[in-house]
Amino acid sequence: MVALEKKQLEYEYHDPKNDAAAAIKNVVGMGNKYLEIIDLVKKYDDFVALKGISLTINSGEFICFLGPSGCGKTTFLRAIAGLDHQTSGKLIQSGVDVSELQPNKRDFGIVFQSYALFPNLTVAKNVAYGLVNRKASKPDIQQKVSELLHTVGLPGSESKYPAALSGGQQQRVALARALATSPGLLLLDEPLSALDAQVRTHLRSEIKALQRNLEVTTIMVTHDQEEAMTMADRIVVMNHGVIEQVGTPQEIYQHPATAFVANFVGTTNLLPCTVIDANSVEVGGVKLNVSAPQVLLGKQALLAIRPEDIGARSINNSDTNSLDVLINEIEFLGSFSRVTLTHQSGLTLTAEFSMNSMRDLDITSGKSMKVTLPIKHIRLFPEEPSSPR
Amino acid sequence: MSSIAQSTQVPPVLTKPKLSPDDWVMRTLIIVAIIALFTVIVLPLYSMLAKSAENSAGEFIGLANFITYFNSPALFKSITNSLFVSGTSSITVLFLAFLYAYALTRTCMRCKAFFNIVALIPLLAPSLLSAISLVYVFGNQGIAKSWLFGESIYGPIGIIIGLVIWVFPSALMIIKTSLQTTDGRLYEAATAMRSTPLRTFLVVTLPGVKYGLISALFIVFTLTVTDFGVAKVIGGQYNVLATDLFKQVIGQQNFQMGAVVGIVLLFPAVLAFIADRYVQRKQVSLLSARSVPYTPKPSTIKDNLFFIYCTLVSAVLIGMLAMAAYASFVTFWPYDQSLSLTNYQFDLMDGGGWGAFTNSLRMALYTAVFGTLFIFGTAYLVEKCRGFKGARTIIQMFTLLPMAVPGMVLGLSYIFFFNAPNNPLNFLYGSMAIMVISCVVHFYTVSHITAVTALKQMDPEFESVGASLKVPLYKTFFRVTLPMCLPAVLDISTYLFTTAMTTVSAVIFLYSPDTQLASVAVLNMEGAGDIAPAAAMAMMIVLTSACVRLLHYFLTRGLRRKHLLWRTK
Repeated sequence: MVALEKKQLEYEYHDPKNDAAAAIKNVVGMGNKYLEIIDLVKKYDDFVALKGISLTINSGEFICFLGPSGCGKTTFLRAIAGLDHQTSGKLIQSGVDVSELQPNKRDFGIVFQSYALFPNLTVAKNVAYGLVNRKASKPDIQQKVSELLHTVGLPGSESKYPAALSGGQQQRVALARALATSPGLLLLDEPLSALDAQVRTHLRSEIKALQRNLEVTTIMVTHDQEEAMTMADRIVVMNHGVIEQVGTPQEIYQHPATAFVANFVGTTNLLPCTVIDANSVEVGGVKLNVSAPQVLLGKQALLAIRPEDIGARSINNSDTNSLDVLINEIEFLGSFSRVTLTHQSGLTLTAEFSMNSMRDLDITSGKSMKVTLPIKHIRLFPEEPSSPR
Repeated sequence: MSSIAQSTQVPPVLTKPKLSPDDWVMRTLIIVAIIALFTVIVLPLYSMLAKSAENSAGEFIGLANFITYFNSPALFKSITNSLFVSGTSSITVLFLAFLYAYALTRTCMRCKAFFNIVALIPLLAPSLLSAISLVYVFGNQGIAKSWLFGESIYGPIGIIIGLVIWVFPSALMIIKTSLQTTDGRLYEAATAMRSTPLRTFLVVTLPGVKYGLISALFIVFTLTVTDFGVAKVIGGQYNVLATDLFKQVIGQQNFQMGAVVGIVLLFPAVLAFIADRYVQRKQVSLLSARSVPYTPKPSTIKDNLFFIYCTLVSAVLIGMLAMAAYASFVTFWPYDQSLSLTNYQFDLMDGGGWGAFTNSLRMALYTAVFGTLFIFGTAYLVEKCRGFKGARTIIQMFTLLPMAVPGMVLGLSYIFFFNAPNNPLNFLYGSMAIMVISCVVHFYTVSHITAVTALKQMDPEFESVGASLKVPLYKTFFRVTLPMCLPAVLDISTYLFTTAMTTVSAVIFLYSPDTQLASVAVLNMEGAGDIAPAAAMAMMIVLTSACVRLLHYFLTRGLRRKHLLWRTK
């Protein structure tokens, strides 16, 4: 039993540095790799924006670079495009080393947050901007432009100027322009951040569907975790110029590799604790049962548990990690509520209960209740030198 | 696993991006621009510096010339005179222009559009014009001589009034801009906190325009201390640095002493320039994307008081122009007051005749065309070239330098540099080209800043998009950048044309008998006592500048209509 738990933990707790390597192995197994980034470093004077990043992207994949502002995700994207050259490191795109090529020698289409549509050209001329240069005939270009506008859901707006379109429509035109030359790689630099919430949600699913149809390898930079979760095949979580974790949205959410990821993607209770032995930790005077990895024994660590994983139904005193807590604040969020709980030791937890539970258990401010912290949902991370947030 | 660990231990190889043909072209052009600017700015100034340390035989004598200069009381007096007249006129014009700008931006006064246009009148004419008008009004045979209570207009009084009129629009434009760029929300906040109008003025308005005022002060000071026209016409026996320079070079042909005066004249201009740069750096933008523009509220007393004030100022500005216009048509002042075109028969007088006028037109046109091409092109290179930081910094330094060099000093340094027998560019001396170069360089900084501002306003990703679609840079330049920047290009060319048309100081040392200019003709005819023909020629300059400004207005209006379709927000 113990051995089994340990094994499980070994799987769950892994060194983030090995993540990229694992990803590469994984991909090589699948074959079909499109873009290979090896040990990319970008320095500005005395600031290191990218600290040796390695990553492999498969063809047809939708990848999201996710991270807080200043984490280096846009720098990373611009290095892939060749717009801001890396200080050192290699980029191999469909078997060709493009590390030293200027952007106009590479194969990509790009969409910016600002759309960067040419305001003095009509929609048709914007979309055809890259086609005209390829010496295609005029009718062919017209045909292609109207096809593209149809694809992005803007048929018939050829003769309009960008200023006459809404933000969402402008972004569609920018997308059509980027796709016009059928690039092998589509780069999206926070394409939805400047749009209203509703337009954003709508465009999100459209872009995803379009990408799946065209099977174009796509990298999108975003700071919006919801966007990354709903759109990406794999998410690359970045912080301070390094990759914290690479994985599918489910992996990232359910098995965060670091305390940073746990806290940045979704919310997490992060509690400083001392690891007593392989089975228990002490958190602010409370002893909790956990299964702790070998490396953390006797050390200071961070205990993480997601608010929705805190149990409230049918709890017995004999259950592991059951706590009597006082209900403090209740934040109503529609289908669920976020509840602040305080233990007599001073320990504060945030839990999320469905409206159903709220009703059934009659959870109201000022009352006491019993909750459990299930072992299988508790994660331990080494204490970080600079704590996230 | 182990192979990866090994590969990370190898010291990283720095990647150097391969340069595309676009990059090579841009870098070559940047180097060409650096060489050109170095040749027409730095080398001439150096040759002037060298000249100031030589005797008439061309031997190096160190600072001896400077010692002679500072030991001659008459010359030294010019420094204090210069500082006195430009100090007084700068502070006066700052005060007058602030009130006028305040009326235009912060009140609901009537006829704002009219007052806006009237204030620009002095820009259309050489500085000489205001002085000539003053002679007609307050001079020995002036119509209102008695108003001075026996004081003579020929001297500091005349110089100060003339300078104030001439630099008024320059001060006004800077102060107006800084008054316009204040966040209206600050005033709403002040009102909400029940601040008194006086307190609001002291706590919100003044700090908001502080940097604009200081900047205006420095620019006006530089303009006045280096101006030559006004003092030449109305200064009488009152010597200032600029007239000294003229006398040393043209009158006495003492080039070494001329170089010394030139360097002395360079001092206040450079100091003002450095101070202005220092202040500008401290300025932070008070306007953010969330700011709302200030809209003045009507107030009968305030609006009427400012209306009266602006009417008075406008009357002076219009009067200045009208006086000269009228005098130019009077057959023989003051004896024959009948109106005729006698004074416009320039071919019957010294000064170059109508040829001078057509020369001026040609020079202004060349300055506008070639100047705009070079300045906008260089600004584009500096803004859009990737990498090559050192070279771009050098260009930026070169583009700021002309601001600090008075026109006469630039012209003088051109004599020394281009007239040197061993200079391969010697053939330029005495040609139209050297005057065009001098004008372009003299008005470089303002034009460059206009171009850079327009380029910076465009989305920096336009070029990235172009590159991703594999469209060569020059195509993006002609299809997108240039059309978008056309208003700025028009602004620059109009500015270059009118300033080249009106400048005296940048060309006074450079014209030859074959390349007489209208503005110089005004000066020379006035000097020879032909003051009415001088006024007539000045009117021709005003007329030309006004026509060009009008043309610019209509072109810009046409463009703006088109741009409205393009405007994103």
